[in-house]
Amino acid sequence: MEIKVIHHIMEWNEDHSNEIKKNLADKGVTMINVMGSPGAGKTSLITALIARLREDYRIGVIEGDIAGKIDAETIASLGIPVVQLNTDGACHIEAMSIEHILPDFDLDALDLIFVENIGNLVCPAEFNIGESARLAILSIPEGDDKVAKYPLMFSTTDALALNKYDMLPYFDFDPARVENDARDVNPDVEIYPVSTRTGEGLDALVDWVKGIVRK
Amino acid sequence: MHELAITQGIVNFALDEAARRGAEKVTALTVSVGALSGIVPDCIETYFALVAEGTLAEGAKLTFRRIPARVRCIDCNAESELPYFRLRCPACTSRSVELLSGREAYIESMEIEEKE
Repeated sequence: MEIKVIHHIMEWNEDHSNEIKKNLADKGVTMINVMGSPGAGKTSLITALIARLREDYRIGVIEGDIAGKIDAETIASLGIPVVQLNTDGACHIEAMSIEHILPDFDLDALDLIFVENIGNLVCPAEFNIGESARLAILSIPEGDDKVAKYPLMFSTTDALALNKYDMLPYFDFDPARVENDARDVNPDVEIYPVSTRTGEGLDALVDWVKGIVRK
Repeated sequence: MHELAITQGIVNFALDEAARRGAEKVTALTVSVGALSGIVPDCIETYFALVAEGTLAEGAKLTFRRIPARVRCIDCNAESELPYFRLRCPACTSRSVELLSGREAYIESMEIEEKE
């Protein structure tokens, strides 16, 4: 017997994502899903943003990694509440993992949570995790062809930070190509050239974050 | 590798649905996948055998209906299929396009054998 079902493949994840969204909205907490390749500078960028936002907001961090707690220790050393999420081999974070971890935070004492996703330009894009916004990072040494090669990631992000921008003179990286490719898959994406090392461009990205924090 | 998680989702749904209907076996599943969904049918097929093994869905025939990415151009009004992941009108290159299809990812139908 054939039966029509029409069941969204990602529903098992979406249900949890929507639940998290509702929970965070009730608590007035904003969550930003930070995605990019290994080495793009996700932890450094989160650290740089924390330094510029911690006066105004109470911040927490979820550090996603396949193994280890190196990044969580970096964040904890700043005196910021952090929970390490190890996926034990999985290439992405799922909403259910976030749901399990949120009770580790006192949500009444937080305004903003950064989730550092697994370093990967492919899989994390498929999984909503209850985030308020997505921030993708692409660093100059990775090359200007990455948006064209990994369109899904860049098509689903709200903002794109071009990190290590101070390295631009040393690489054949055409920022105009990246902007063009990004607008081809995501016309409204906001693009921020930044360097976590020199601090250039970070003020504009900080303003973007402030624009989406609830309150 | 995320296809493993997605495949588990598909199999879990099929098993729940089969149990709900008192079915003895799931014999076929049809899955619709849009060209821009990022989901790779070949990977799902490979994982399916693994995940469904020993369940009511073991051996079920998996059929994929691939849905092309289509856009309607707001500037020139042309309706076209996108040759690749680039949200531009293939006719006039405008970025003012409305996506008509391509992001789909759903189980469309399934076949079950009911208990005698």
